[in-house]
Amino acid sequence: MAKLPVICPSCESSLNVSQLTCPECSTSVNGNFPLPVYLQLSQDEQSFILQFFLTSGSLKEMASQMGISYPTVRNRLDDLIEKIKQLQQTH
Amino acid sequence: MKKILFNPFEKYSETQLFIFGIATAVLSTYLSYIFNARFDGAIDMHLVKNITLKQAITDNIINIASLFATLYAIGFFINKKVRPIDILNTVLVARSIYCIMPFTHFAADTLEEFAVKTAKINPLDPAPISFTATEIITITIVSLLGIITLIWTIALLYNGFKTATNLKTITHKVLFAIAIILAEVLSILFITALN
Repeated sequence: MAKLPVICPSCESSLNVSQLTCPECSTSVNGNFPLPVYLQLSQDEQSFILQFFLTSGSLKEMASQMGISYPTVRNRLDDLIEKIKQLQQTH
Repeated sequence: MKKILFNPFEKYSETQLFIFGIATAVLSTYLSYIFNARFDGAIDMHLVKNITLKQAITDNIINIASLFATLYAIGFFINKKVRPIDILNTVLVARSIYCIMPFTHFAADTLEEFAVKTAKINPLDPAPISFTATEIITITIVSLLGIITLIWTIALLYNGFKTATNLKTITHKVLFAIAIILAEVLSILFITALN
């Protein structure tokens, strides 16, 4: 499946959704909708959050599943929290 | 391979790092005892005439404790989430490289001759002095080994501390350097006081 582009390839700003289409009847809705914060994250960051959710927030289990150390997982989580806080502030 | 040699802290669990660190701390203490090498500072080593087992053990405990105390204090200041085990593993794994240095014991005689010759040089009236090829080769190898060991140890300390504290800014890096200098001073003071 094609990846949803979230960053403008020209100026690197966050992209907005301008059209949504019903896959059943092909009805299109046009507008200018900002992407939710979760979708503005990269594919890796989204996978990280999903894994965090699936391991019930256990960083130890995540570290063991990902084959990296506990502080590395915690640092990635802290960086991600910081990034989400910044994204929320810009909205 | 580069990751394993310079930043094992990103990959290996605290238990694996701790077991490796403790094993190498015991080994380096034993090597320092049998090869008359004193770890008389957090990032120091000097060859001596004699060393007791008690001195070898106390030196290593003081060095590990000094580095742990200063790095943990600064680490806690940088990031409240820092875990003592991650700092302890950083210190133990970084110091594992020091297992190499006691082997310079085999060059002790040549190093001593070199030191005696250079000590005789009068800076006000430098007389020509000749070194044998063995002396020059030995001093070059030992110096290179010392520099490589020191750089490798500092790199491991930095990478371990960076992983443990999520260090990012220049201020944090300066604080890390201060912690190392402080550990060196503290360890020398304690080791001197106990002898």
